[in-house]
Amino acid sequence: MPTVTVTAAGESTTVDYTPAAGPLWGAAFQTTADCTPVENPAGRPVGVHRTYWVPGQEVAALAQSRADVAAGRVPWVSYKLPVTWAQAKTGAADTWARSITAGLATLPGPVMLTWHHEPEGDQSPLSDFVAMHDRLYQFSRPFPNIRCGPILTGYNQIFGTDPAQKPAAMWPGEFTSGDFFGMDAYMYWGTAKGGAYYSIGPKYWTPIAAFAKFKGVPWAIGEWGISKDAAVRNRSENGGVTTQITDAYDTAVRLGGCLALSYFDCGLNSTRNASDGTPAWPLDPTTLTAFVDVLNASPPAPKSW
Amino acid sequence: MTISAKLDLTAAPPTLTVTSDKRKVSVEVSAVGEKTTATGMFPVTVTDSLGKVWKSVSDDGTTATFS
Repeated sequence: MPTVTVTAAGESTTVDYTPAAGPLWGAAFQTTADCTPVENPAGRPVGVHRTYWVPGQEVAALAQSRADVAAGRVPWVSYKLPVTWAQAKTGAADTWARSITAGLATLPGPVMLTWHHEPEGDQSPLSDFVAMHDRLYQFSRPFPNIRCGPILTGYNQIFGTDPAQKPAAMWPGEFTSGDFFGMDAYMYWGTAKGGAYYSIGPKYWTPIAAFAKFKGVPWAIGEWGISKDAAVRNRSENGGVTTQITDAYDTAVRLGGCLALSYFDCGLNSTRNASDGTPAWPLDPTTLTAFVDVLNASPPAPKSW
Repeated sequence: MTISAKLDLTAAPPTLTVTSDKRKVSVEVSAVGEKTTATGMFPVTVTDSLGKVWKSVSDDGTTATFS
């Protein structure tokens, strides 16, 4: 556990980076939402469990969220909308969104909610997305167990060149509401897409934390991943230890203000490893061990926000 | 009172609060019939195992806050 030691007038004391104050640690797990591959070796539930839903799955989504809370997890529910952003921003999704938030409000524990994750490129203009989010956010505000926030793609904001998707254009400034600010983060080195090799935590978390601080809200990572090949390289350079995993958590702790880190342990829509063409992001057995170690150092799901 | 430290990671940025009542020192000196009092304050040093640099935000001599 990281520590801080202070000394003055010949006396000193040391405090831990208290686990109870660190970010929730969890993931999205394949398409079955089965958390047991991580939870069984850890002997405890993940702090956060991200799931994805579309209109028509409201009953199943609420049931999964209720099961997550009962199991000691914070569900992080992502919903695509039944109408366009342009329609939603003027009220076409109000009844539907009110129903979603009213259902989540009945859960006996905290829940995170995101409307239309990774919006860039799905519709246009992005200002409609912002307006939609600002409107639908109002429906979760009355319920203290719900924290609602956007999840931007991350890569577009950190590495992209489109000025409309830069943080200066989308964030800070555009959003007027939200309980947290989320982004996704992937390092493509070792995948068919290719890219630079770096430590994903410091590379992504630092600017994201800065954006969130500017807005005055916690930040969270909705998805993140390193390729299997990157994990192998990482271990070969660090004595067999997957430091990418531990650095991700420790960096979030050091930066502060992080609500949750959710890994994308899922082959769905996954880019491929360059070496063998398999899905890049799922945790391989060795990386899973590091992931479980961090889980055991992270806080449990809170009983309330 | 011995030195104490409290770390709040829920704040953005995180804050470190250090409290000690032994930092303030006062020495009375006299020479050729004149007296004066010199005052000072022991500094707080912070060592972070993650390498984070904690910057002083406020310090009244008893309670020092860093972020």
